[in-house]
Amino acid sequence: MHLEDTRRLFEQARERFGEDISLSDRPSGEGSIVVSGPRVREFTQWARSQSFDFFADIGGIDYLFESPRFDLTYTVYSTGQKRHLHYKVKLDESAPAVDSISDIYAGANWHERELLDMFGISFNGHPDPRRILMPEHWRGHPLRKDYPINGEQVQFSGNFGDVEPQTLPPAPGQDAFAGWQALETTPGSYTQLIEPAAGPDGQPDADGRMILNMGPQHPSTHGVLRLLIELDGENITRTLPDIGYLHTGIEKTAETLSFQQALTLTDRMDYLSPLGNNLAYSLSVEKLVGVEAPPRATVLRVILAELTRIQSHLVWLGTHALDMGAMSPFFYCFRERDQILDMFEMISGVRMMTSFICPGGLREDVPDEFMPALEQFMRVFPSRVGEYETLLTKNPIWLERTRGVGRLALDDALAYGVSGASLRGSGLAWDIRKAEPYCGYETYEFEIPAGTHGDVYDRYLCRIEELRQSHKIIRQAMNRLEPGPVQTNDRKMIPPPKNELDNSMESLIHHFLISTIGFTAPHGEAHVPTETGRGLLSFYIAGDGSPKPYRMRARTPSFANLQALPVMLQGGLVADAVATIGSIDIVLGDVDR
Amino acid sequence: MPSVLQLVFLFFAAVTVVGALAVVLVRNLFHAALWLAVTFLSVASLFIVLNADFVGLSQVIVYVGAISVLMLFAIMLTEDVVGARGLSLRSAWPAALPVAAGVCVVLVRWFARYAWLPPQPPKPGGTAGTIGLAFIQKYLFAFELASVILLAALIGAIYLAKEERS
Amino acid sequence: MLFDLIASFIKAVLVFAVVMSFVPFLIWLERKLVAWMQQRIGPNRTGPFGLLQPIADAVKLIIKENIFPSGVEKITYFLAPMMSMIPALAAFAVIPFGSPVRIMGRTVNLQVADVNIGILYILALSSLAVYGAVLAGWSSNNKYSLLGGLRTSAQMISYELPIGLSVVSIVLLTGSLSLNEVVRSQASHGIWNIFPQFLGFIILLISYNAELNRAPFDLGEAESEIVAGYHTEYSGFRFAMFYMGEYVNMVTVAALVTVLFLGGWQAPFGPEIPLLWFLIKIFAFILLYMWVRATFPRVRYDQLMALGWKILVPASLANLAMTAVIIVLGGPNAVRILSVGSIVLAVLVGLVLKAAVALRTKSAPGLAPPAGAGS
Repeated sequence: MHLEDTRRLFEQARERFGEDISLSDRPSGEGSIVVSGPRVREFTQWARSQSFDFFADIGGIDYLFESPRFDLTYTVYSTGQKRHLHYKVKLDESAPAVDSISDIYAGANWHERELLDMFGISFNGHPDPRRILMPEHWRGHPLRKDYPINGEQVQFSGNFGDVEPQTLPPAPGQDAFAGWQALETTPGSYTQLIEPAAGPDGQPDADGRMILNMGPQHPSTHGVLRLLIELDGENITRTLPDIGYLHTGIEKTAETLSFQQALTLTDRMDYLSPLGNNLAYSLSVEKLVGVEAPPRATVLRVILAELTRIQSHLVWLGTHALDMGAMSPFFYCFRERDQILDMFEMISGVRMMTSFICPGGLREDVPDEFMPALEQFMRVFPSRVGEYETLLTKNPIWLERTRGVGRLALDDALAYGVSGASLRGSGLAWDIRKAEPYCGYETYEFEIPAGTHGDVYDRYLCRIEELRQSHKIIRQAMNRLEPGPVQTNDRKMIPPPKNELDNSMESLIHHFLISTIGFTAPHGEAHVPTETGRGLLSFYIAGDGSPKPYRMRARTPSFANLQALPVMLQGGLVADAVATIGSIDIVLGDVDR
Repeated sequence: MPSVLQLVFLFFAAVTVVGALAVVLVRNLFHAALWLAVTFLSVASLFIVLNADFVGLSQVIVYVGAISVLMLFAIMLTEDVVGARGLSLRSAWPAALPVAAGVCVVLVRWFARYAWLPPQPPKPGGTAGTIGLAFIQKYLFAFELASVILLAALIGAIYLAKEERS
Repeated sequence: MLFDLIASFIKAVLVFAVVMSFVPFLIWLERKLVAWMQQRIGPNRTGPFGLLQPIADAVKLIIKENIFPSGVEKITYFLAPMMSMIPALAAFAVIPFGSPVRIMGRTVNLQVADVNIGILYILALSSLAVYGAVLAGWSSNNKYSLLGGLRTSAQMISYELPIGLSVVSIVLLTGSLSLNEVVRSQASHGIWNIFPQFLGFIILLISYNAELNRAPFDLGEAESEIVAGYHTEYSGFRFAMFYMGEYVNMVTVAALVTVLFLGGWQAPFGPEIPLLWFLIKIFAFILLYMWVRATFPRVRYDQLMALGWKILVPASLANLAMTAVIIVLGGPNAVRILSVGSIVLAVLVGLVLKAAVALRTKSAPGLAPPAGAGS
């Protein structure tokens, strides 16, 4: 969305909100509306009435030495008008609090909890104010700028009994687990939420309801996800996902690394879609610094991003089928995925964490053998998709297991910010590549599939079709690939070429600086939405004139998609939970970051 | 000097009695059901020793393979996994003893008066054909009556299960 | 008398040895075959083509420490693996695997024991096999084991019904409960039972797949849901017994189906070579099960039960009634009428199923019209 659009919306809102709102030119190129704290609920309702139906994110930035100190950046999308809106709330340092909007957009629930966890901002009227990523006993709020990195205490021990929550100092005479026990009796704490309705684990209560604990070590949760499922007989009445087991503080770590170094963290977030993450990050950084990748790099980025989408979908398909007991598709999918990973290895030397797409273009040009390998892959792939479909699409058992299972209504999907094929399965063909194109996607010819029922089967069909559409895009991109540079020639970002170093002292110094310190980014904020295999991924990056990102907020698709899981499981059977978890295609690294 | 067959018979008879006693005496419900299966199995063996092979194997299929398993299934569904202590009959001893003794006396007296046939040699084609014919000729009414009663029980069970769900 | 005793003893030892030596070979075959179907190589390190791999695995399992996890019920925990293996082995005693041969002037049946109610004997033993799962599930002191035991026992009991009912139809055709007699009657009818009893054959095929706990009906050990089910807590030799029990069961079932439906040891064409045709048929059947395993996703538990009780039991009852009526009315032509009827029925059922699947996929969400909007 352009600054003018934001200005026009601002004028409209001005009539109603008067002096309570103002216009900010951040993030760069888009601008945002700054809303006064008390009226944020009202503004959110207004935004929703202005067709901003898709809730994406609430990010936080801690401008430590400014007043007010905290910036909350809300991002909502209009799927109809194909644009998005940022609005901000600025909060004071002392007891920062703001009204919760989780009853307007259901998806805000977890995002607000994350802000509570990471920044210590409280949300009035929030239904479930608990930490979400950090352990319950954690002290301090890690993403605050005054929270020291390496400030946490971790005790490493092989003995279970020795591991104790170090940040909660045990009172004299208390045993090591007193902290945990205190939690269990604190109102609003973890176990209280679900257990008053039912008896202890595994025992049905008077109403016949029972708690089933699934994960964090369970083969079908696709990582360390824990689900507390409340059952009435075989039917699921409530589900409480517990996440954070894989939280590695990527957003905090990024603040201590240079822009080039932080790139490598994005690979490790959604480890099935590394190049997609690289691309999203690079686009945001490029926008912040104000450079553009050259045409060859852009076309190659499209090829690589689509290959990544294909291999990510292949992992999803293989494991999803494996969860349902179909062994063979798994191996077929991994056969093709290995072909793609071989290509990644060819271009970057690494199979998964490539960091190949970087701010300014690509790390280097692709080697000569890449195009023949790609051509080879492109030739066989369509028939391979046919093979997967032969095994599953019309298989009566597959139909029985997936049709009508794990339904998600479109309204719910939008309010929860569910994106990607999980949203499209519910019937809305909304894809950032079409809605707000980047990398020249508007010039490619492809279609966005959408389902009708929003069940597991529709999501399956959507992703299968996306495999074919990605193939189509790669074919078009291959045809328009022309020789040329793959890095911007903006010397602010890219070091001078080697041959200049011999005869120019300035080049040598500049090369040295970019290699050691890194390039700097101006004061400001930038944000570019992209579509990865899992859905809407965007980085909200703030710069402060230094070579490090002042703040790197990752809006990851898995986090939002997982939040809608309880809605999908509601009323279903336990056996369907496995199918449903598989169908939303989450990566826990992407959820927990 | 008893023959081999008689020794086998005595062995299974003993197992039957021990098993039946264990059913009522062990405290773990699951074990009781297992002992019941053992009892059924040895009764089936007794039938086979008596050349009633069809009845014996039917006993295995129906009582050991289905009914006992269903009991075990129900116990597994309702009890704790291991170590659950089921009902003890200790408190019911005083009431149970005279009743059991009475039944025992009646049975023994009645058996003593019954004119037992001498042991039959095994039939060449097995007993299945004979039993089948008897069911649909001589005992047709009893056979059909039994099936009607079973059907009624079946419908009743379905009705009860449905009631509970709604 | 002495000759018979010795012959029986030799036959019993031979059958035991052959069946037990089948097991490692079948394990190897399954691993290799499924690997080929899945574009893998499969075991290839131990021995030529990896043939010795199952032996090595077995040796490893046997010399492992026998572990009693804490909280298990020792006696039942100890008995369970035996209960899963012994009935399967014992059932093989009544399977006739060749036409009678003459040795030293006496006729010897190629069968350990020609019991005249052999069919009943096999049904009885297969109904005992469920105890392995029940005991293991109960004694392991583990929720996954318990759930696996529950699932397996309910599943096996449910699927014994269609099995029994389909077998009764064969008994009607044969007029005897002796497996030897079943083979002979197929010879005298001049047509294998699979033709007059095609529906029964299909029902038995599906039901035995469920009875054997093999994919797509391996609910009792669905690793994505309940880890390894009732044998989660087992290791070492006891685990090996469960594993072997599964394969012995598979051989027994294959042999039984061969005898009941595929004419036993008879040659479909060419000369009758003792054992050869019997083995070929058994392997064809086992390969079919392996192929099924590599192809299908797993059904859900309620769907499994619905399939058993709502489709297979009524279908096998209908098959039984139809067979009985035709045998009474058709007299000597009954087998011929049944054969023609089955073929018509099979075609009809096939068409109906195909139409049903087509209908379901048609009402499936076609993908929405190309969302070109926005470009």
